[in-house]
Amino acid sequence: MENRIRLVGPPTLIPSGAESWGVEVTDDMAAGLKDADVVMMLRLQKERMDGAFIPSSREYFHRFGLDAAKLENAKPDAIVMHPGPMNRGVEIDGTIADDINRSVIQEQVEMGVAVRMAAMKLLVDRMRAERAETQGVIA
Amino acid sequence: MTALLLQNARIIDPEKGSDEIGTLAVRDGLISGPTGMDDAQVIDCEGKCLAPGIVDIGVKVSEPGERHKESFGSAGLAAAAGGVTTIVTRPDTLPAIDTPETLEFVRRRANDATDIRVLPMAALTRGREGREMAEIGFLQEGGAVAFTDCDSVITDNKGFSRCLAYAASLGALVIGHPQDPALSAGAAATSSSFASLKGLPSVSPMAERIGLDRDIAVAEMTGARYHADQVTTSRALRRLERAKDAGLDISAGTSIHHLTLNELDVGDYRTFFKVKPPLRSEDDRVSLVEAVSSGLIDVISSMHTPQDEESKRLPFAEAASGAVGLETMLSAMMRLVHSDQIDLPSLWRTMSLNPSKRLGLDTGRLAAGSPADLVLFDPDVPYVMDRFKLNSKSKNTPFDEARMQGKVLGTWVGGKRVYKA
Repeated sequence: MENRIRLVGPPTLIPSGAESWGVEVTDDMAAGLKDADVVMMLRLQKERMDGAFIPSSREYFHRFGLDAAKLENAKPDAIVMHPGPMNRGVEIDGTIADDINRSVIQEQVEMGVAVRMAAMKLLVDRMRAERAETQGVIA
Repeated sequence: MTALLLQNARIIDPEKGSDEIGTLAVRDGLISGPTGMDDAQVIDCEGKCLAPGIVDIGVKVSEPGERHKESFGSAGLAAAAGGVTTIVTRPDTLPAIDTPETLEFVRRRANDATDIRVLPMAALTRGREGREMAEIGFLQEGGAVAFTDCDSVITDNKGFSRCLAYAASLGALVIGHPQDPALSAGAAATSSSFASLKGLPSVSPMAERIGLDRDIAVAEMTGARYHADQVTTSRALRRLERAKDAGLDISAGTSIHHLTLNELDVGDYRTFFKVKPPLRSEDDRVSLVEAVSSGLIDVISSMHTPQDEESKRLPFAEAASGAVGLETMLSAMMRLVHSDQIDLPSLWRTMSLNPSKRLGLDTGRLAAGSPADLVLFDPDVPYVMDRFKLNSKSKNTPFDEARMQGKVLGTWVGGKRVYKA
């Protein structure tokens, strides 16, 4: 797949050196969303922050929170994703999150369960196979 | 609005670097071409100097919190009488200007109280405490032209670098106070044999260089637009020059007091000479004047800091720092002109053009289409400063009873006359 990825956020949250990962990095939400097919939001993980990366959640929402006005910059049929759990009114506006025409967040969460199950199945199968090889018994 | 024709003026144009007799036309609040001015009110300037109004970055108006020291009304009167047409205010008020709401209050108060342009700066961190970032985005949208914690230096480099990185993403100008706060804590003078003989607690001039080195490094790391409020020592000047040569987006100011006075002026503990940073050696002063003349120092500020009698009538080490300067700035700087240390266009480059450019304003110049913010002054007329004649509510000027030269005759803001001598 020929994917192009843009990373949008305040420079205080963008990992250093991200420009060299083959992604475009910007702190301008409008420019970052321009003509995007998929918009993936990420939760502001306050519990992992030591000290202030941003001035306030209200300013974060104002600059980087996904609302209808900002989403206008993306393609008209762009889908909105979010791995959850969401902070409504911080990184995403509630009406966008619940918009059945744009948001695939519910499906994403649902499929997330299946993907996790599949991943665990693969790990467990491999673990069993390895154990069988080393111990010579069928577990 | 009526048209205005200022004839027979010695026009000081910092942009062209020119100083010549001519006519300046004003229409609808803007500087205009000289044609079609038949309906204009004509003013004969009698060969006196006409220059862009001064743009003063770092003015303390003590509203909110200490209105008895200075209000927007009194600061506006002082500015008009001093030829200052734009005051860029400091956020070190009580409370600090660190939210969009307090900023809105300041803008409304200023608009009601004076015709002088008042552009507020906002705090970089909440309460100027150096911990949590202020809402730089909201404050910028609300009209804050720059961000500064004033003389409260952010010591946490991690927090400081995040503030600068965040400000950089908004293109916001950050104004720092280059100083090592641990070294300068409690200091009232610059370390020297004079300070020791006087028994004054002092700080090494190196504290400024340490502070500037740190600020330059963080500005380089984050790509922030950085301005040092006051560089006052030759040691720090060399670092400033190196940073500019390296192409960093860094500028620096200095104060009228550091350009005209030195540490010895403190004399017998005269607290009106206590400013922050403290007055420096004569060698430092001379190199500062050279740096202004060469363009290494971009901006001259009055660092107008009103203090009432109670804050100053104390033992030197305990007295408050700061001096009023809005009204004394022009004649203080005439000292440099009359001693041939700088010419008028170069002086106005640092007092009106550069500060305007650094803040992204369209003022501070005489090109057609620019706002007609003007000062008409006589550079030669001598007088003895009487601090009680100042318009400021606070009278703490070190130039009290000093022989001065240069008086403002008229001030216009957007073509409207706001002062007439």
